[in-house]
Amino acid sequence: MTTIPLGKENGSMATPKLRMGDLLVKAGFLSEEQLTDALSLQKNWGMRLGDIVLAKGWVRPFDLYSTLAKHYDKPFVNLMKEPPDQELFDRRDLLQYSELLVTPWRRIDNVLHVAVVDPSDEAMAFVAHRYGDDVELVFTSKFDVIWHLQHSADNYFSELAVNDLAECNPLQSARNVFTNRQLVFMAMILVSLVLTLSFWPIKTLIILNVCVSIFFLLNFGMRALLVWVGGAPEIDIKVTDQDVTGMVDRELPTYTILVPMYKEAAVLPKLTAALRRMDYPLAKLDVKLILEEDDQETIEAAKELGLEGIFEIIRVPPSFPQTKPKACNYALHFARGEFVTIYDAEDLPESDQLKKVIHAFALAPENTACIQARLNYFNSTQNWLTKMFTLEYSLWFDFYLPALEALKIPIPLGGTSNHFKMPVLRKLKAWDPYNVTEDADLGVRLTQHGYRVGVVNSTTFEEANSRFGNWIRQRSRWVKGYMQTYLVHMRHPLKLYRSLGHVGFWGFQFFIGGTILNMLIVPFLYGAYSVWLLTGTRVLEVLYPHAILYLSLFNLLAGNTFLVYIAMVGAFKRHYYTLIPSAFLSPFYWLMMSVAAYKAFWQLIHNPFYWEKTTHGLSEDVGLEVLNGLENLEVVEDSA
Amino acid sequence: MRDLFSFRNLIFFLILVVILGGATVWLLEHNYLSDIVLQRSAKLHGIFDARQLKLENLGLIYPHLPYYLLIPFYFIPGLSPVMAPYLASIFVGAALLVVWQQQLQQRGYGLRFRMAILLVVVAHPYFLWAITSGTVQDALSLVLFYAFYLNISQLASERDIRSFIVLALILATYFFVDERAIFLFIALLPLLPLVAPQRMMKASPVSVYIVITFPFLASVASWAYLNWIFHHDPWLFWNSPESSFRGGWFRAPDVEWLRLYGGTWLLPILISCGYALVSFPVLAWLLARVRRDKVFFAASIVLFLHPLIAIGFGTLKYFVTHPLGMLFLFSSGIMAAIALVPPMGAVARRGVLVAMLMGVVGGWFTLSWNPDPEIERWHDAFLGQHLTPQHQGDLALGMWLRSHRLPTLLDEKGGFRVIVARGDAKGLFLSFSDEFKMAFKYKQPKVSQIAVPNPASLNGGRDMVNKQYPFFFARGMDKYQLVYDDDDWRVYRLRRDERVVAYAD
Repeated sequence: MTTIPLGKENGSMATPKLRMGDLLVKAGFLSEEQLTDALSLQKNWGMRLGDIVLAKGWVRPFDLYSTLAKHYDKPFVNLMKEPPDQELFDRRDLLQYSELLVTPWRRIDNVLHVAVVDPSDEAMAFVAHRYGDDVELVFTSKFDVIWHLQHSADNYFSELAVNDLAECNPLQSARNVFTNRQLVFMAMILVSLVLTLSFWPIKTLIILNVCVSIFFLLNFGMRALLVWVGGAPEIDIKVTDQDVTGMVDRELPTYTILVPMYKEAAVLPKLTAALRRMDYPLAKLDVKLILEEDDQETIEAAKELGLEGIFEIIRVPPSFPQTKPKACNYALHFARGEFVTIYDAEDLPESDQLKKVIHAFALAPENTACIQARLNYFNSTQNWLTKMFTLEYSLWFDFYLPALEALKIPIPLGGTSNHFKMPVLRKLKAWDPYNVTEDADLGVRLTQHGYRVGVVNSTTFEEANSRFGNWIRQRSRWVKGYMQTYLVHMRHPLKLYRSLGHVGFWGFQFFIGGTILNMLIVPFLYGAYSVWLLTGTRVLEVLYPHAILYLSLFNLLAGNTFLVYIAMVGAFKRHYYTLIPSAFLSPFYWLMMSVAAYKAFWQLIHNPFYWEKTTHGLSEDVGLEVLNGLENLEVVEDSA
Repeated sequence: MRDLFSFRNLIFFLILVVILGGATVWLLEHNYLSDIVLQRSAKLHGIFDARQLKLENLGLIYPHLPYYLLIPFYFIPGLSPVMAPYLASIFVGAALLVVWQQQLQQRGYGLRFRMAILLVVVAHPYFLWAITSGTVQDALSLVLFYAFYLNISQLASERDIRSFIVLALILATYFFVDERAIFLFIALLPLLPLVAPQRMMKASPVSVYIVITFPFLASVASWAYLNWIFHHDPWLFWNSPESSFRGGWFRAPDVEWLRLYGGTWLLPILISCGYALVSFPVLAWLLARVRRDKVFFAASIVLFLHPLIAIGFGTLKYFVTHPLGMLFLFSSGIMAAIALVPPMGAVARRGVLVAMLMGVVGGWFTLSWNPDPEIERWHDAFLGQHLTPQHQGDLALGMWLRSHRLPTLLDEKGGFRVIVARGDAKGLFLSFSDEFKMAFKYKQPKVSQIAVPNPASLNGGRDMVNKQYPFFFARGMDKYQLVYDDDDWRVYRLRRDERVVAYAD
């Protein structure tokens, strides 16, 4: 039972006569059985009873907080009906307000009244330190405090969410797509190309061909290395099931889960169900449903669900750019966890993922700031596109990322399920709202700042894009984001080289830059090859002196075969046996990537910050796929 | 890995090079020089002395990697290209032995045992044949089979994804090293269920097969594609009479093993089993030793059956000319097995040494059973018999061409010994050259000199000049005069005035 040292000697905070649980039972808000269960959980989780009953949804927040007020014999105020005096609001204290759930309310009879949710030691220490002893407390609900903070500092939070990184570290923000120096450099390249093509067209084309062939060869080499390193058995099982079962719940920290959503009301029940079944003390979860203010449909749907106290709705006011990173930055001001992660609305993380991450952090070097979980798809067999997408992801997350970690190459984080240490994330000004793959950018930024990114053997299952148009939209955003990331971090190549080292720098060049270039070049090669194959023309022979011909043939035969093969291997490792034959169709998938890449390139110039929204919930039978997803979880766990 | 490249291992490697080199010199001193060595040397001359360096000039009817391995030797000043295949084989063989010794050391075996077992491995005629016959691909095959078997055992025991990838890549590489790979690949298919993880085999046997076999099949398909690109026939490497991928197919009537068993498979397997047990009794010892260890037993069964099934299938398709052509792989397979089996006590060590020693005796014995002519010559030379020099006519022509260096048209498929004897291929129009192809477009070619073998000989029968101009050897041609003549070769020279016209053209 809670005993709260208030640190006040003026008699205004009398020691409660009745315990909180008893009060709730007496008031009829909680049954005896629930109290017994809650006390048992309290013992295991080491949390306050109030947090537990709220997390379990046994008591409504209003009932709890009003009872808490009675418990301490203090008034309960509804901040929406009786809003705080704005003049007392101090922006410099925003972080404390949101972390400790405290806010100055009003000055009555010359006595400052401070609204608190939970008179914890930290909250009381802050009140005493900030406002002195002559303070009267009133109680309120945490939702009131959050509402009030949002209401009072909307613009301020928005401004920070949008411009904090750009103002503090403009060189690492994508707000300027190209720097002047980059534009000059590109112009010089372009002019040189035009000039050399005009005067020595054949020689120039041969040299370009040489460069492309060598690039592809190195790219294949890089991928071979990654598959080799990523295929090491010791990489697969970093945190074992025994490690997880050995963890003590009461020692676990508060974990913030950010769930940015936009017009995704339909997936809310699935999402909340997936989060509820996490193997983590519910009361230590701080889930933020991040909704855009203009998305009334989802906001209403979330309200109607009557969610437990662990879920908080954060409404993001409209501002430019309307991107997921901006929304996350905004919500981060209200996060109270020691660690924070992001899940997309349709995500199905493995239930022990948070615990595995905590353990992985404990095992990792001190400077590890982020742990990326693996991503995969629950609707992998829905159609050809989802099969190809799953093949790609299996390779990416099961081979490439663990290998990048092992080789200390910057990891372009996946869109979700990346887990951060909160202080580091805040120190680095979180995500770049102008970058449409803010996660990939952050991965590189972390490495540049001397932090490490790790990978954990836990999977989050998502919904694979099953429609061509939707897929192109999503992929074009990803490629555009990669382009932004590359441009941002290549503003000072030497500085990047120094901060990443040899392996990190070249790894970055090939894994980020190389991926983009690859997609942009492929259509030319496909085109040339098709023309030659269909017409038998000898016109192109002049571009292929013998050494280049051999290199190109090697790339065509060995390189492409290898890429198809590793796609198979990725599926094989995941036990996705039925997907293996689909790998033969990889060249068509690569061509689709190129289409997306050219769209991305076009957008980078014309609409760089536009967030191509991916529509979720396109699976033919979401319920069935959820079940499939859960079964997949079991398969993976078995194999581990 | 760092230990592998230690100074001690370097010294050990050099000692092994000297030992294996000594054995090779012994063979050369007894006039043993295999045709394949000469072919490889001639090929190197052919591609490097041509106007343009084109890899396809090597011909796409042989695996290429052994040739690529020889290329660095070509640039060593003063080294005859004839020595390159021998040196490459010796280096590869010595390197394999060093790696093996390192693994034995890591398993805790003492120096005395390691040296003793190394001696019996090296003394085994099948191992010596592979290294000292100078084919390069036999030596490379030993390495690949060693890696293959190590990996099979790993697949059976650890079942990690790397084992699958490595196994698949070994098979895929094997195809470019040795044409035997096709038969070894096919022989592996029925054996895979013994070593592949049972759960995967139950869940999706097709997937297991795809993941292991796809790279090999892609290698074959790539080769067919290259044949199509450069020769407009994707199956040239399989259909060409000169193709090494067909082994003894085109000379089956001359090969005793194929005369006796060609077109059958069971009998060759059974007979080869006898060969194997006599030449490598240690196989029986190995199976007995690991019989209680399910994983190693399965891997050992695969080791035992794999070359035998390959021989069966290879004989069925008239590829294998002698069981030794596959059984020599047991040498490295057993080396890998010894490095993998649970550590042996003193008695077991003595047992394995005795079994290996018996194998050395048995090996020399089995070499004389239905020998292939090449093996017979090697065997005789090794036992100290001075062989009668062969193909003196080729040598004589080569020497003559060395001093008569006019541009000469020569089909190198039968004339490879001539090229080697000449010392280079500069000014020679070989079958892949544009000049050679252009010459054949006319009823009457205009080339300064044309060398043509006797059509009655084995070489002459398949010579392209003879095929194009059937009476050229016998009658010559208008405007050509005979300038060289012996039983094996004739050289016709374009008359001086015509030569001027020819060059003006």
